[in-house]
Amino acid sequence: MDVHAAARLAAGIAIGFGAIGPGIGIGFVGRGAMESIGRNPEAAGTIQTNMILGMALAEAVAIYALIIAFVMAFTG
Amino acid sequence: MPLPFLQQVAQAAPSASPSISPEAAANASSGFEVPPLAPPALFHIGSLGFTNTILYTYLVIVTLAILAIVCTRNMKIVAAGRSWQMFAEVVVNAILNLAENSLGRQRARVIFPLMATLFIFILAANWFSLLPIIGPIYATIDGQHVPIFRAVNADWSTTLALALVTFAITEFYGLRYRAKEHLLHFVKPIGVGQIELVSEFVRILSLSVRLFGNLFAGEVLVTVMTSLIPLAVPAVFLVLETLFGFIQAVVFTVLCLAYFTLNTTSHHVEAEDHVHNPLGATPD
Repeated sequence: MDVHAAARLAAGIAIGFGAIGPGIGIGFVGRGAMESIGRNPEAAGTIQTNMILGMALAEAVAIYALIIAFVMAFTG
Repeated sequence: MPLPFLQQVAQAAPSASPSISPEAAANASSGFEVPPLAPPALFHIGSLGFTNTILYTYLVIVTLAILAIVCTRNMKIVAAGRSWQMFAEVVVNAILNLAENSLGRQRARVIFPLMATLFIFILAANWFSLLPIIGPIYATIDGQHVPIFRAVNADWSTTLALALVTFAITEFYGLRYRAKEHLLHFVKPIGVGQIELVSEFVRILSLSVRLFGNLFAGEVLVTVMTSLIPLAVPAVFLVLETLFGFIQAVVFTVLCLAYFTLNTTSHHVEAEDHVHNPLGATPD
């Protein structure tokens, strides 16, 4: 396997594994928000705002993996 | 210039013909051109490259300045229902309320200017990067096609600068509000304090890479989708990008507020000050 093929493969593996954690995290955030809205529908607005914030923070971890993947795919 | 090693690698890579950039040559087989990580320089001032990102940043700044002038021209105490002044008041009030809800009136006014500036600039820059003037207008420099405009926050230099400013200001106020305690909590419980110190500096990286990564990934996503299914589908992703641009601006602003709150809240007077973290947890 030459360097270019290895770099492309590494990029795929990086984003694939990097997306697992944030995926689980966003799932937890969504579940928590849905349960809270179910219990207290009046607070839906505030909960939604904070849910999106939490999701964006979790998603950032996947973005780090994506950047690593881009760097490897572009330079390799 | 971000990621200088990328440029070295790109220059070292063999290119098919001198008129095509190495990235374009690398992507030529897949049929679309992914924007390069490092922005190309339009011209040089001394050794400093004037990149297409800087040009677009100035365009955003000028637009915001014109908007600010329009919004504050003949202001009235009670703004008319559908006036520019009303528009500005709604935006500024929303940010001020966000700050005052978690900090109280006095301290909120301290960090409010930075927050509002960050939010308005990042939001404008994110939404400007969706305009179709970015791709098609290009200049030919040294035989290479260089786009004149580039999405502002899809360049790590910009987001790193924003993160550094945020870091410097929050640290400054940390020292000012609780000088001894702020320095001491990097030292005191041996081990924990040092981790605190590292996590303080990691904020620069996480803030800047979060924004840069989102915008850059969005740009690549739209490019790829446009080349795969050019009909109607890219519109869906453009709507998503509009939403993400807003969310990332909010996230950056709220994190700036959270760091300020964490750095300026003294644990000895917390009970009477009655302050809470806007996120309810310690973000890093």
